[in-house]
Amino acid sequence: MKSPLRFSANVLEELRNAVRTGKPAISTEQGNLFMLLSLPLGAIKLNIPAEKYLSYIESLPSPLRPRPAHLFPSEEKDFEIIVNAAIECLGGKTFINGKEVKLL
Amino acid sequence: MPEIPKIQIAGSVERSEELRRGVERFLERMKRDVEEEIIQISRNERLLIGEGMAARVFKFELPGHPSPCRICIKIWRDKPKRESTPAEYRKIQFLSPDEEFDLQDDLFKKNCKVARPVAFGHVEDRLNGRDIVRDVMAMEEISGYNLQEIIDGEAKIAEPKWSELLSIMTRIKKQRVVHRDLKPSNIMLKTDQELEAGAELRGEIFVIDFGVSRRVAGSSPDDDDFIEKAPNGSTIHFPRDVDYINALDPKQRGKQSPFLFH
Repeated sequence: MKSPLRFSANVLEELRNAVRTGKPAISTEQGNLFMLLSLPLGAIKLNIPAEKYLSYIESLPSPLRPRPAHLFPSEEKDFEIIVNAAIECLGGKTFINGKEVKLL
Repeated sequence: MPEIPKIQIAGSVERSEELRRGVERFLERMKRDVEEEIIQISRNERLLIGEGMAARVFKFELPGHPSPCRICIKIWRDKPKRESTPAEYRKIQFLSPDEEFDLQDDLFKKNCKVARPVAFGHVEDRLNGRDIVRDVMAMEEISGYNLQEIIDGEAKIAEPKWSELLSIMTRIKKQRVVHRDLKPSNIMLKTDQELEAGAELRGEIFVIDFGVSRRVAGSSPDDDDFIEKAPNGSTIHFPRDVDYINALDPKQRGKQSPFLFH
């Protein structure tokens, strides 16, 4: 899957480290979300195929659906999705730029 | 072997096809969403934080969240700000934007004091009835002032010393890169302080804008590394990095240097 942006090697390395050694911010049957502290970015390691995950995202009701520009399919082996946004997790809910969304 | 009902096979194929179409729709929407966001940013003069002949830099706002890192977007012009010959253009953008992004990424990974590059892409836009493609780079915003602003603002840099700039460029040189455009506006002081006449500023020095940089073969660049051939055959001479740095030395330049003489 080709995305319109490519991320720098230094960012990919930090995302890989976050997935390999960090604690997920959210963990569900679909996958785990890891967030960076140094940048407004995150990575999702999926337990389901990426195609099914994107289909799930597309099926979400509009208020909870994240913007397509915030989710980038990745060909990294440690994670499948880069979340290109500042993410907050509060009370079991996920917020991007102050708006509640569903990521997992 | 039991016969597999055809309906089941058809169902599986249909589900796969539906998934594939769903992914394609998502990717198409993602591409458009990214392009719209970049186009909106590029049209918003309020977000403009710097511009040159080849590109403009905009603040990237992250509403509703106190991000630990501020991001800016460098958007290359589809053509230079002023009419220029190929030779003149090469003086302001020798590397392709892709190459500039990769070079900056390499330097950052080697702990050189450069703005951290985050992502790079090509986005489609429409300008004056023409379809164009813009190169875009997202990177960490160095919040503060460039050295030209500090000179014009009649402030001084109390910390770090001028020698820190020399150390930064030595480190970059060790990575076999020459900058070739180290004018004061391409050196930033990251600081939270206000810029006012007489202020003694403290912060961190970063080098920005590697558009006319190049990688060199040896660990010590020579004069040939600062000469290029333009497409029309003429010769382009770039000032040597060491000359730029020495021009900022307070021992040599006294009051004209933005650095305090310790």
